[in-house]
Amino acid sequence: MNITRREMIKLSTAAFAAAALNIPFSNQARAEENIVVDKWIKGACRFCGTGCGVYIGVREGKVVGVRGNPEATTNFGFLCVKGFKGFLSMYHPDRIKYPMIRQADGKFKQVTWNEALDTIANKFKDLQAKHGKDAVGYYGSGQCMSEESYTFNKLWKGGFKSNMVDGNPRLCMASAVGGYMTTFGTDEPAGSYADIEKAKTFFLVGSNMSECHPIIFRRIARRKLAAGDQINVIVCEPRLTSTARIADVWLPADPGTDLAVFHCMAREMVKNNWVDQFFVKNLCRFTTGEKVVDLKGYADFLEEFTPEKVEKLTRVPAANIREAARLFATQGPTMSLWTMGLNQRTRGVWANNLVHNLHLITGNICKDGADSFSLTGQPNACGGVRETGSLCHLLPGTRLIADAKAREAVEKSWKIPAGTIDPKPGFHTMKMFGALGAENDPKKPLKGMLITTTNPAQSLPNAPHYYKGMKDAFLVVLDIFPTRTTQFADVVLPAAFIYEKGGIYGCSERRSQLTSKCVVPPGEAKPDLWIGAQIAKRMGLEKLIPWNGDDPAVAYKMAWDDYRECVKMTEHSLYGMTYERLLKLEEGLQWPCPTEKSPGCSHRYVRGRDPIMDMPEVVQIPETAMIYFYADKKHEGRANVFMRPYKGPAEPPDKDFPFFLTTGRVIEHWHSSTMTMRVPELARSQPNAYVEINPEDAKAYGINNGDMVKTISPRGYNILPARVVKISLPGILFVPWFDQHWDRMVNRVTIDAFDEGSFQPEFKICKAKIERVGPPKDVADMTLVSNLDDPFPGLA
Amino acid sequence: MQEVPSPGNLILRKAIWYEMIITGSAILVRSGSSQGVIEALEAVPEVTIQARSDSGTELIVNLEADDSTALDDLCARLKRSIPAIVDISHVSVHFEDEVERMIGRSKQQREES
Repeated sequence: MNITRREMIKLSTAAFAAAALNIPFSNQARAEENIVVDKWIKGACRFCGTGCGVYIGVREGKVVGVRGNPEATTNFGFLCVKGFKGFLSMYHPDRIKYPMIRQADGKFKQVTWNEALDTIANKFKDLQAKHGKDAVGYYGSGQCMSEESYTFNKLWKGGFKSNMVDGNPRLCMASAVGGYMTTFGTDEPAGSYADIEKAKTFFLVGSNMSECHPIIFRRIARRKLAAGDQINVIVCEPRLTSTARIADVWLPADPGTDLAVFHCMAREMVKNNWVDQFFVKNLCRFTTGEKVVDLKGYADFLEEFTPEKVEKLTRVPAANIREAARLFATQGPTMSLWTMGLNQRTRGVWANNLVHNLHLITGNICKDGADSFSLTGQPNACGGVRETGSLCHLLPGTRLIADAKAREAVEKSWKIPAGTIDPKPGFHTMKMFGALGAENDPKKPLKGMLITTTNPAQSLPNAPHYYKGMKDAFLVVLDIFPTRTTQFADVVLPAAFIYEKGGIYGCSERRSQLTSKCVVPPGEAKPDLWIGAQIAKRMGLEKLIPWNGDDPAVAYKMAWDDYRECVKMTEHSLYGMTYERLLKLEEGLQWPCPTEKSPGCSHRYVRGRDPIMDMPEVVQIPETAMIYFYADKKHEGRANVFMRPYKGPAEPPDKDFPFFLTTGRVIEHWHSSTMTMRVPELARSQPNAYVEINPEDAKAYGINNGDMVKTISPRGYNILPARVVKISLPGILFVPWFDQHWDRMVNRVTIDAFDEGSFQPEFKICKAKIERVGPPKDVADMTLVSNLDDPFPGLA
Repeated sequence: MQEVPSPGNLILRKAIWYEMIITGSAILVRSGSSQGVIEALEAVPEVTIQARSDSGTELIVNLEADDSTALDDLCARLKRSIPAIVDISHVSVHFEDEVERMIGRSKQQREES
């Protein structure tokens, strides 16, 4: 066969596209004679929580291409713009390549790994000796590999005997965790992405998935395109986003008011007898949290949420609520999906509970196409942080630290003396950063912190409130680029990118996927796992964390095996997910997966699908039960249908600050844009943040499109170009949060009030006012913190 | 404007061929309009049509562009000029030469600093 290399590239790329769509492709055979790269290596994308399967193309030791994996059941070969282009940031000249320590003059100096690690270990030991075991915290990320989060969690809780462990999933997913834990007794969804292809009605709430989870959105949009009138899409969201544009019913609730909408939908369902009697009788427990009632008691509670009253409260037309309730309850199976719009709230746990309510009373769960599904934001918030228990109140297997039996089981697994693990939870993220400060400050108990793969100086709400603590404390930051957070660091360690180390990610649908190492890191950059293990070794904890060798393939597998063993006898068991299996399986595996022969689990709590249902050594389930919520704390197999009272946001608009300000993401950028702003095409496509203003409001304030606008809250202000569009309703402002420029960092403005159950902050809602400050100005500066020695602008 | 390689200038042709992004993409088209879309796409030199689904609502194509910006521009142009196109999604993208260029820029910046 005599075809050129270019033709082969074209055939090869087309073959993958055809395979993804299951379209016959006559040139497939030729395309598979792959001569494009030296090798394709299987892995996962790292730019959202979908868990897209990818193949990484490597040629002459460099990553040169990425393609979707058609066999991956998460994305069937499709990728979004970040998935395709984000990896290019690996080769940006700003990569941190050497360990750096800040000197007395405030400038960083390159040091050896030994110097850096000895400095950290000695300082941590010193701080713990002087101020106690809890004087040093770990702040991790939903972007670390599972093996890394597990290792740092084990080091802190088992080695330092300290629960000062938290991570950025606290900022994005904690309310979803709280919602699942309180309703079902255990974390994470019952169903799978595969329900999308079987659902007939979708309830999309607090999620602009077309930009934030575009591959999931594509699956839903494709369903809608193919089946037309048979598929119903309900969107509850204050902005007419590109997601809302495919909706049959739009519920434009003012930020923070949707609890009333959910109760109103439930009221319609109960009044019209659209409830599932089997679920109501056998699987639901109607409760205030303290008192249990029957269906009538629940109906009485809902009575005040009439559509007309809720319309006045939320601005959602009463007729839309009625139709949404009808579609949800009668045109199922129904699948709900949500993200930050539900979670980043002072009532985030309650909002999650109330969506679960709708599924439970209509029996839309534990069936094909029916699920109450929280989409996670980060690639490994579920697998790496929630499942490994790398939060201040958790242990591996999402077990509570407060549970004596769980502590005992983990201590046994870790081979540490009974009583080692402190029964008292550590500080959650907001408390942790509030407690961070100087050694000589008696009001600040946390004197040092290790931060990895996240950028709290930009991502914390009301961020400037926490800068002094970060500056005064001993701060160690692991990252691949300079960030707003490295500007406060005392030690910066060069980290390896996912494709330079490998490891496991667990996505929203309880699916774990293994990425193999593809290329070597630049300079002296190292995997987080190596860094954690080396710190452990220097602090006398080598026996606890023995995987400190230089070969990441060996070290990561050792850590994973240790973790598998630790959660073996839990209902979150992933003992059957060996490295060998995950290496072979194109689509990874979903837990529970308790044995090496287990195929994993698409639907939890369902006999015949969930292996835990037939493991009496883990949970006790009546033999006749086909569906059973086995994590029910009352051991009745029921889920809680909560009668949560209506409460609005912490800071609603008032006469001085008459707008709702809400924040979010755009498709081009990942989080604080430290990677995506380094991919020129993504940066050019979305070079700066802006404030979206409804034309009615813009007119009232004399603001034209592009004018510079001061957006002010009680905490601070931004100066942003106006984007005058009808996307946001009158009275609502929207600002994306990716921008690193000091004038446009929206977390100078947001509120740090948080949910009392999940401790997740209310990024989505605060009050604000606007002022026109001038005509249009070119602010497309694609701002980056490029140099570790760049001074921080907020500290005069 | 991309220079068209002449048959006698193989070295130039190789360089040009390699300095491109090539995608394998799916184009979703409105039901009943695939023939018209195919005819319109055939007139676009950067597009190679590779396959069509039985339902006629999905086409498999290669898109070729100088860089990512040009690729985005091409997609926007196709959507604008052919209204029956509902969506264009890339499944596989070959970036090799962009990576080389980025590494080249990194080296140059290091040398300059």
